[in-house]
This record gives sequence, C-alpha cells and structure tokens, in this order.
Amino acid sequence: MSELSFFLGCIAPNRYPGIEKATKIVMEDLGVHLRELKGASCCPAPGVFRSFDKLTWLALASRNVVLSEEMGVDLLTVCNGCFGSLVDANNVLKEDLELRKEVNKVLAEVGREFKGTIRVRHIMEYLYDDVGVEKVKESIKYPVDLKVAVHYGCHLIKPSKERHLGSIENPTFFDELVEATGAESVMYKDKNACCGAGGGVRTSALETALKLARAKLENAKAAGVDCIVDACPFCHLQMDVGQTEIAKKFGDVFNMPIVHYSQLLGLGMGYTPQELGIDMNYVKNDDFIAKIEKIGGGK
Amino acid sequence: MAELVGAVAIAGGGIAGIQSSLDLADSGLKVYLIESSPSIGGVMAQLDKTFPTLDCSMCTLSPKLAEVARHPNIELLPYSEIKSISGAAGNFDVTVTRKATYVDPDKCTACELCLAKCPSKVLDEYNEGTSKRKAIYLPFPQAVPRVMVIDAEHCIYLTKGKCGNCKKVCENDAIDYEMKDRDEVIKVGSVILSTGFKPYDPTPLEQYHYEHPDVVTSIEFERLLSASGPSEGHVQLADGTTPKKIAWLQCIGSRNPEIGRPNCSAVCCMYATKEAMVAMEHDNELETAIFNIDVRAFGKGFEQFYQRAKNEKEVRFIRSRPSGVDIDPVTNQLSLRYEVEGSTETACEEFDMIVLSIGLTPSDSSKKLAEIAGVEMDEYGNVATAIDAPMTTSVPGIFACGTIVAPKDIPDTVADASGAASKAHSILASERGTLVTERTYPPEKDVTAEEPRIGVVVCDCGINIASVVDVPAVVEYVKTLPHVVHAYEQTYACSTDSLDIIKEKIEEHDLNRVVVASCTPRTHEPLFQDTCRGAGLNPYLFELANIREHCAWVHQKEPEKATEKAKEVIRMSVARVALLDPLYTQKLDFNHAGLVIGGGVTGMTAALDIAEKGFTTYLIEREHELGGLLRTFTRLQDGRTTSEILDPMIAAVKSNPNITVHTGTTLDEVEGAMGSFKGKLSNGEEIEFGSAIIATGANEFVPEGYFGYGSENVITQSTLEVKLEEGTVDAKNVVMIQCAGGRNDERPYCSRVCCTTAVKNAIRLKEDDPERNIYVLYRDIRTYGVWEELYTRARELGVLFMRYTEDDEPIVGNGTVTITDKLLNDTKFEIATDLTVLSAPLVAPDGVEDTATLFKVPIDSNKFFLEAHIKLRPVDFATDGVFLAGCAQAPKLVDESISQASAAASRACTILAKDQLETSGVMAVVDEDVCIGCGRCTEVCAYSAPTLKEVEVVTEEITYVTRKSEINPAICKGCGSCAAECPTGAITSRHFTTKQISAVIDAFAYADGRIEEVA
Amino acid sequence: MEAMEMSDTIKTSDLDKAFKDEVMTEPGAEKLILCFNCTGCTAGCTMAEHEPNYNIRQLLRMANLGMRDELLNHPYLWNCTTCYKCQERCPQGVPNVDILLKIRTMAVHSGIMLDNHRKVAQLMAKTGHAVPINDDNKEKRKKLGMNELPETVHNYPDALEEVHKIVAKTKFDKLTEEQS
Repeated sequence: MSELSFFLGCIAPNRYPGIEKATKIVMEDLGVHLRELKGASCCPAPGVFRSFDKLTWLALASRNVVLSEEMGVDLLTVCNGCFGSLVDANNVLKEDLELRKEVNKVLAEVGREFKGTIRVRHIMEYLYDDVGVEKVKESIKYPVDLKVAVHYGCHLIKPSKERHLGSIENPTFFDELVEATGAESVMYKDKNACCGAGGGVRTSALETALKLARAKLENAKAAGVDCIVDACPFCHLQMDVGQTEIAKKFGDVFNMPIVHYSQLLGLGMGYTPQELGIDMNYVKNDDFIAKIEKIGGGK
Repeated sequence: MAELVGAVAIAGGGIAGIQSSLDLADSGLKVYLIESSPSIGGVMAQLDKTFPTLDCSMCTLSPKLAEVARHPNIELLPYSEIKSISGAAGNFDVTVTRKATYVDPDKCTACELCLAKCPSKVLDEYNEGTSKRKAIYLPFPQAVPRVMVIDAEHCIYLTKGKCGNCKKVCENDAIDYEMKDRDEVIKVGSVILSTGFKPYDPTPLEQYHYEHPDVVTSIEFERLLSASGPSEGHVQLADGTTPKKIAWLQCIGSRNPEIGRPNCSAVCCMYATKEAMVAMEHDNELETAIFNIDVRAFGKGFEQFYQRAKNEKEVRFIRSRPSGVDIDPVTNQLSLRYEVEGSTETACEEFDMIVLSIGLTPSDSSKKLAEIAGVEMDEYGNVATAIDAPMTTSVPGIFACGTIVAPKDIPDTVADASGAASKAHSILASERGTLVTERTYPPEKDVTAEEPRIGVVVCDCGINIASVVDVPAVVEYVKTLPHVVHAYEQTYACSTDSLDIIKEKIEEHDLNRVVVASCTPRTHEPLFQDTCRGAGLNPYLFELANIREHCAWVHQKEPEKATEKAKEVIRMSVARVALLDPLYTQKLDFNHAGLVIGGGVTGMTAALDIAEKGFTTYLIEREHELGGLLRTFTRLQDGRTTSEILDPMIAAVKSNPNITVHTGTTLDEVEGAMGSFKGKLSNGEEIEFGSAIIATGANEFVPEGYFGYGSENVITQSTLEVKLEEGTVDAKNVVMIQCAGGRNDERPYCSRVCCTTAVKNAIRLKEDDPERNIYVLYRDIRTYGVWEELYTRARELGVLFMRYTEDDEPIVGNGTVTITDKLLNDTKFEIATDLTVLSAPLVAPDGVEDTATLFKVPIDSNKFFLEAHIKLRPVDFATDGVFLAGCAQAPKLVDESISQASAAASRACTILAKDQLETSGVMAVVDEDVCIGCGRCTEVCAYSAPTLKEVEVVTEEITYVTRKSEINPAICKGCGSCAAECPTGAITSRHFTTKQISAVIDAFAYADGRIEEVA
Repeated sequence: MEAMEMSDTIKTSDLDKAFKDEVMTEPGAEKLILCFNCTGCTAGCTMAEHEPNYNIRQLLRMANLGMRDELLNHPYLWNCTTCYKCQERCPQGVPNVDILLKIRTMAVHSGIMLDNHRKVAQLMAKTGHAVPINDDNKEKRKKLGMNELPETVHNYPDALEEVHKIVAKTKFDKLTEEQS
C-alpha cells in the first residue's frame, strides 16, 4: 500500500474541513494510506510570506518538509498554494547548498535538519502520475453527471520549470481526472486565469482581488456549468466566500457551487454531499445539493 | 595535383541558387543546379508581392526560372539531393541522388490530363497546407522544369498496386512506374550551398493558438493573398467570410532566447508591412494593425515604405507585442490585449484574423548538407562565415550564400549569390569555357529572293487551348491566308517530337517562314527559334502567336469568341511574319579590362575579385590613401580592428599584378559604352576598359544643428571610435542618441548601420570601464539579423535603453540630456552626461552627381545610386556594363559591402569573361543619309545605346562636318523608343519596322488577310 | 502610477544602481537587465485587465533604472497575485514574479508594509497559521465526524513553540511588529 504524509495547510482544515475529510476517504479507497503530519504549520502561504522575508519562508516551509522526511514518506498536499510553497522550497534547498546551510542553521534551533530526501506531491499530479486515470475511473461507482468548469489555478502548474507537468497553456491532466469521474469538463473563457487570491492580494486589496474572481465566475456561468471544480482551498475560498463578498460590494449574484476535486471524486465513489462537506459552502445552492444527492442513488 | 574542373555544383534552387547559376553559366562555367523539390523557385515562388515596391514576386522570378531552364551551360537536377562530397577545392566528386519522379521528362508536356484523373489528394506544400494537390502534380503553374512528378508516398499505384489512372490517360506514354532512385556522380571544381530557410513552425508557442483556423502564419497569408493560392487572392477566413480586421504579431520564433531562437529574422517587419498594404489594396475597408517590439525598416527604401504605410495607408503600428492570443471559446472570437504606450494601461481589441510573423530558421536540407560538406555551423544553426569573407565556409572550395548563412531579404540574397559565384569563378578562372558545349547548326538557307512560304502550327496545348478554341476550324481558316502553304494542328508543339516534326515540315514544304500559335513567347520563343535554326532557317523568320494566355485562358467562358480571336491573332502574325527579314547577331571584340571607382573595402574587394579571374583592373581612388570609410571606423562588429582586414586587403591590392592602383586621382571623362569605354584620369592618363564598378562609398553625416553638435563633448560615433582606439575616453556618463539627423524630412531614409554601431561601441565602453553609465536613446533599435546578439550583449553589460518619438526629441543641455521615456509612461529623465555621442546617418559623398553623369547612370533623391531593379538586380545598372556596390548603393555594414563588391565583380565578369560580345539581331539602325543629328534618340534611350558622332559628309558641292547618330549594337535592346522618337524616320527598328507593324494593324482590320504593300 | 507626478523630472544622478544590483542578487534575477520591453508581460497580465494602474513591466523597468524610492513606495507593488503567467511567457526568461517578490521583501525590510499584511504576519507568527481555526469551523469539523482541532500546530503546542523559535531566529517577529 502506498503511503504519504498528509499536509493540511490552513484553509482546508480551518475553513473547509470537508476537503480534508474527502481527501482522506477517497485516497484510502484508492489504496493510498495518508498518515497525519503532526505539528505541521502554515506552509507558509507563498505569495504572502515570500513577499516579506525569504529566509522565514524557507525555514517554515522546510520545517514542514522535514517533518515528512523524518517519517520517511513523501508529502501530499491538496492545495496549490501549499504545493507552490513546499515544492519550490524543497527544490531550491535540494539544489542550492549555500542556502540549505543557512536554512539548516535556523532549523537547528528546533533540532531539525533538512536533508532533501522526499518529494512534495499535489493530489492532482499524484493521482495522474502514480495512481492513473484508469484506476480512478475504476473506482467510480456512480458516474458524476455534471457539467463542470475546471480551474487549474496557478501554482499547481507554474512555474513550469519546477513542475514538469506538461503544457501550461493547454494542460489536460486535471480535465482527464475530472472526466474519469463521469463529469464533463466544459471549456470557458479565460480558463487559465488566476482567481485573484494569491500574492497577498486578497489580504491587502480585497476589492481588486474580487474583480478577478468575478471575471472567473462570470465566464464559468456563461459556459452553462453546474459548478466549478478546483484543487486549491484558497481558490476555493476566494470563489466561494468571494461570492458573498462580490454580492455585497458589486451586487452580482452567481449561486455557483465550488467543489474541490477530492469532493467530486468522493461523489463518484458514492459518498454523500454531507459526508463530503459540500453542503457547508458559504454559497447555499439547494438545487445543486439535490442534484448531487441523486448521484449516489439517493442514499 | 588533381586537375581543375570548370564546373560548379549549386545545392538549392531558390533565388540564390538561380542567381549564382546564371552568373557562372554566363561566365563560361558549367553549372549543375541541384534542387530537392520538383521545381526551382524556392520561397520566393510562394510570395505574392515583394517589398518595398510591391512588385509581383512570380512576375519578377519566372523570367529567371525560364532563363535557367534554357541556358545551355546549366544542367538542372530537380528532385535530387546531394548524398556525399569528396575531393578538394578545384576537384570535387559530388554524388547526387536523383529521386524517381516516375515521369519521363523527355515525354511529359505537362498537359495535366493525368492530374485531372488522379484520385489521391495530398496537403499542398506550395500553399503551406491550406489546400490539396494530387499525388501526381506540378508544384505550381510556373514550375521549372515543367514536368509532372509522382509523390510516391501518396501514389495509390506505387503504394498499393491499384489505380494507375495517370498512365492510362497519358497520351505521350510518359508515366514510368518502374523508375528508381539513382545516384549520379558529377565532377565539379567548386560547390555552392544555397539551400535557404524553413519558416518557423509556431506550434510550440501554444499561447498563440496556431490551431485556431484564423490564426495563420505569414507565409500562409502570402498564399491567401496570391492569385494562384487556395482562395485565388481573396483573403478569407476559414468559414469563407471576409475579414474586416487583421492583426500581425511580430517576432514569433525570433528574438526569443528561451526557445533557442535569439536572433532577429531581419525580414519580418518589412514583410508584415507589405502584407498589410497589399491586403488593404485588395479590400479598402480592411483595418490592419502590426504589433511590434521595434520596427526594423532598415534597408534601401524601407523606412519610406514604412512611413507610407503608417501615414498614407493608415496601417496601425502598435508598440506592444502581446505574449499570446485570446479566444472566446463560445464565439471562437479572436482578441488581443496589448499595452498602450505612454500609459500604464492595457487595451483589448477583437480581430477576425491574426497573422503570426514567423522567423527564418535553418532548413532541414541545410543541416544535412552542412554535415555532408563538413562545413562549420554557428550556434544559430547557420553556416559559419566571417565578416570579411561572408560567402566563404570553413571548407576551401565550398561557398555559401543567402539565408543558409543568416536571415536576409531578397536583394541581399541575390548579391550574396553573385558574390558566391565570384568566389567559385575565381578558383576556376583558368577553366572557363572548358566544359561548356557550343551548339552547332546546319548552314542557313538564303531566302531573300523568295516569296514568303509560311508554315503555321496551331497547338492544342493538350486541353489548355483546345478545350476553348476550336483548333481544327482555326487550322482550316489559316490555310486560306495569303502565303500560307502549310498549316496543321499539333497536340503539344513544344514536345521534343513535335519540334522534330516542325523541322521535317520546313524541309518537306520548303518553308521559309514559321508561325507557331501556342503560348507565351517569354518562355517558348527561343525554343522554336532554335528549332528553326536547326532546320537551316534564320531564327528571326519566326513568329509566336499567343493564343493561350491571350486567348484560351482569359476567355474560357466564351469559346466561339475565343476561336474568332485566335483566328485574328494568327492572321496578324501571318501578316507580320511574311514581312520579317533574316537578322544576324554580331560578334564583336572588346576590351576585357575592368574599372573600379572607389578604393574603400568595397572597391578593393571588387578589384581583387576581378583581378583573380585574370582580368586587368584599374582601381581609382580620389583620396591619397586606400581604405575609405573603414579608416574612420576602427572596429568591426566581431571585435576585430578594421585595420585587421584593411591592411591585408591593401597589401593584396597593391601587390596584385593585374591591378593598377591610382590614388589621389579621379576619373574625369568617359566615353563609349560596355566593352569599349575610354576614360581620362585627372593625372592625364587615358585608360580603356570594358566594364566599370562604382564603389564610391559614403561618409558620416556631420550633424550640425542636431542635438548640440559642435559643442564640446558632443561627438559622432566615428569620433568615438577613434577616441576608443586611442584610449582617450574618460567620460563616466555617456549618452548616445540614435537617428541624429536621419529619418527626417531632409534625409528620410534609415542609415541601417547606426544601431549596430552604437551597441558595438556601447559594449566597448562598458568593457573598458564597467562602472560607466551608458544610455542609448532610440526610436527603434534596428540591430537586425544576427546583430541582435550585440543588442543583447549590451543589455547584459548594463547599458540602458530609452525610447523617444520623432515629435518629442531629447534635448541636449549643459552636461545633461533630457528625454521623455516612452518605455516608462512618458516619464521625463534628465540624464547626466560627460559625453554625448550622436549616431549620424551615412550620406552620399560629394561628387556623386559627376560620377553619375560620366556613366549616364541615375542617382535617387538621397544621392545614392539607383540600381536596375531593387529586388533582383541590386548591383546592376540599367546601363549595360556598369555596376555598383557598397555604400554607394545604400548604407550598409562591412560584410554586406564585401558581398555586394564580389557580386558586382561577378556581374562584371559575365561580360569580361566572354570571348566576344554577341549583339542581338533585334536592334535599331540609323540611316545616316536621313539622320539630321538632332540627338532626340540619345535622350529617350534608357540604355545609352545611341551616341552622336562627328561625321564628315562629302558631296559633290560641299564637304562638311556634322553629327550623326550611331547606335552601339552591343547595348541596343531593340525596344524601338529611338525609332519612334526620330523625327525624320532615320532609325529603323529591326524586326519591328513601320511596315511590319502596319501590316499587323491592317491584318487586324481586314478579315481577308490582305496585306497592303507599302513601297 | 499615482505615486509619481508626470511633470516630475527624474535626474539620473539620483538613481541608485546599487538598488538594481541588490535586486539582481535573487537567483535568476540577473536576467532583469535583459528586458527589451516587448510588453508581453503586461499585455498578458490578468491583474492588468482589472487594474489599469498596475503594470509589471514598468515596475521592473523602475528596478532596472534604479528608482529605489519610487518603487519601494509604489502603491501597486502589492497588486501582483504571483500567478506566474508573465514569467512563463517572457522571451528573455526574465523571472518577473521572483524579482517582484524580492523587491517586496526589500520594501518590508525597509519598514514599508501594508497594515493587513502586518496583521496576517503577526497572526501566523503567533498561531502558526495564517488562517487559524475558529469556533464556526470547530463545529463544522465535529459535524463531519472529525476532531475539533486538526493535527497541525493547533494540536501540538511543542510544534507551535518550534514555529515561535524559528520566527524569532529569523527576526521575522521584529520585522513584522507594529510600527510606532
């Protein structure tokens, strides 16, 4: 059985616990055993903390990686932001020995040392490369009959030199994994656009950040989808909570359900929306919940 | 020591290979022209119009294709590739694989019956995959050789053993499925590589969405514009509708180190401007926009072309190059977002079609060939050459020209090609004439006393004529015309067996005049004339009546009228041919010396090239030192000092036994014409020469009145170069200002060299002292082609670049230069400066008008000499025997000057290498008794053929001296302008006499073919 | 760029080459000077579509020219969402985002930091999470059958202590504390 440590980050456990739960149950069903990464902290959010101090970012990020190193397993994250933070830190410290020395001086304060022995994985690329689309397809008991707008986000695939996940202008792996569940990935305008949350912008300039989210929601709506599927709790929050903020600031109402891939996969495996925490979104869309309840045969 | 072989193999039949072939063949060397595709022509054959004159590309190219086809010294090896090269300079064995075409070239007449019946459709390479062709095909209508080819990969018979339609319908039994590839070894003395380029495939740049049907490459767009293209010249979107707004994106696949294509491709700014202009000519409601980083309009006439496009035609030039194309997936609408100059903002616009201006990359043949030849390549995948030897590869005896060396446009390619020919010729000068065959003919019949006995062949041209014109009816009609003793129909008059039949008929019916009614004289007249000669008939007793291009092809929908017109056309030709006289060419002895005016690097290169071929050469330089402009500039772009190339060149010139150098001397008088020039030097000496090259160069403009020039610390680039060499630059802050005194109303041209010179010197300044602050203030950075690497290097060293516009120029103050930087939202910068360097343009030197007058050649409004044709004859004048090269033609860099110098030498030697000059039979002659010496003929002749000579007239009563016109048969082109202008009718335009023309007009008027005899 | 009045003329003698050099110490940032102003970055920028005052190319140009004060104090320095689109597409390979982040750290290190950023930095330094758990979400976790607290620093005080030690060692706490 494959084993990985499960890095939670902040937003999944503390704002969208459904994503945490969904991940645990779908991965187990796929034969991947996730072990708790005890004592992990904020990744730390790359756009925010890398804007303040590089050493602090590297030190905190590498501490999270070291926790997994000490467990002797690779690290799995379900968040683009955490992935960006941890994979970039991991790569940079594997290669730049001077920088590694500097960071290890800091880690020595807490009795830890970065050795560069593990890989940082994101659930989407792990499912595609290690589990495989075929196996995911086989795990589907109830085809998810939905039209979805797939949102890759930014830090899953960029910077591409560090990621080796193929085309960044026209990626397909996330769409393939979505279609493996039986859902239809619908093309929409500016599919590759950023949700607006990252880089500390949501924190410091909310209204500006919401303009980007709004464009995303408009385009998805124009394409006639049932929901947006993402692989990043920060994008998830920006597009879910963001809708309530957009309604207040701009007056636009979208009623767009936002679903994390782990939750979409969970539906296909037969779990209920309630079990997966999809009904806990800030945007309440009863029609959507009713629709997806039917997927599992109305358990 | 192996023997020298007087032949040259040329790999690549594009415009470069074609030009080299013609020069060498005209100089008496045998040429093997090897082309991997079925036809010569290359990329130029795919272009619609060429910049900056908007000439039709094929119209200027196809005469050259025809010339190659019928040149007795050129053996064309189409659909062939070089497999290996062994040996050494002077004696190479080249193994050529002749790929099987499955069509016998001796039997095929390209009637295209097979094409109609072929069921296999293939993406057409000529149209860049936008349309389909058949497995048996002609690559394009004007293909040379005009022989069908079967693409074995897609032929149903050759792959599956089924079909075989083409063989069934061919009336000449030309299809041969058993044909095999075969290797042939040719012996040559030199090899020229001219395999051109491959357009960059933009698929990897996914952000430009090349997969969208209305995102096309520039070369696909050429095909759309072209009347022979997939939509017959109607620019249309994939769904067939007409686009209203088209955008061009520049630098796609160029200036991009990230994808391994760091160079500029040199031609794209110009071709995009041209495409926009031509597209707007097709549709005057079309809106166009060209998104660019810099507009590189650096060649002769280019800047003016760009300004015209911008100001008169309203092509929008937007200084922002989007990094991608946006598509709305619901509507499929294309749009572009771009930065608005002078603000922080971006704007978005929708377009119907987007053209990607793709760059020039090394072709696959080039890479393979370079390996086979063992020549060194540079890091860009091009054949490596040096600035002072731009056509010379690392292998002696193997030369390279055109885009295989670096991206460049057609005029530079043509010059390069002639230059490479010069290099090959120099090695093999002693072998001129050894491998070329003179054709022999039977003795000529004397028909002067005979009544006209006219034979008429009316050609079906397969179905091309016969499907519209009722040929049998025409033949019956023709039989009724006066003096016609024999008329018959022929399926293909030009096929080898048909030509034999013509000869038989001439004998059988004792014909003394022949008319062939078929296609265009441009391609076929010489062929039939040759046939007549082969039957003992004077070739000028032949007339070709065009009933294809002028009749069947343009009146396809009106067959009855077309038939009547064919009858009229032939009637007119019959009337003319009856009155034609036998004419004879003359062979004249002439002076084989060459003259070069101008002793700079251009003049010296030309002189050496001519001398190497064994001819006496005079080099005239008005300064006391040789060297020209390179004495003022001190470094080349590759870092070497100019004296490193000048000194050896001067030594070579002075020590060459064939060259006589006159410094401190000018050429003051010239008379005569090609082959018989007589000149008088300022030192009193008289010289005789057969041809002349004008290489009078250029000077750096003294920019008085511009940017504070004249005050201390404001200097020009040449002064900076001298100071750098002397080590006397101690400025810590340097500002360079581009376009100082250029690209304005007084000098509206771009001086081409200044951006490269500026970055070259900026690099020197930085390498000398890395702490220096250097700012280069520019309008466009025109470091074109491989010189983009210098611009990159300058930036790497920390040179800063700021952009200004012509209506808001920098202001030079006391120790400062103030500029509104367009690159930073119009922020004003006051730049501290200890030294301000002005990049002033090159201008024509004093006295060019005098030189122009001496040789009766034109200069343009900027006082640069005006060549015969800006694209295909960059070093020729319309006046025979006189050539130009270097900055005398237009500002250029050293390697370009050297290339042109060799080119001019090659061109001059196509004359000097002949044993005798052969005149045409068609020319004008003067009846001195009637001539009154008014001189009007000398004024209208474009070729300076007539001159007025003093003649002593002796009559019974009086002897007096007067002037009479004398027309030089060596240069007369037989155009008839002088005859038309002559007030007394003293000049007869042979082959186009008044009587002959009147007969044609009468024949048109009188349906019974009556010819009014004029006494 | 509202920070600068267009009528202001900048003297190059006031520009700071050392600033550019410092920016370029960031690995990859030595390519900053290769920028030839093709404008592809700004033209493709998603933020530029929605915020016309934000122009990444011009911000980097200011760095290239050594405009230290204007840049560190620039109001739109904080608008980039680090989506990396520009960095991916740059033909010269200029790492726009990496350079911008470097400049931001230089601003923070010279005391220039937005209030909200300061707050989130302090929150993370204190709780180990930029977005810590709250009562609402403790309830949600319970409802889903999970433990109230996730297995992060929230549940392991020793681990949180490690975070505190680290931010003290890097002086992050000092860096982001309230300015008087």
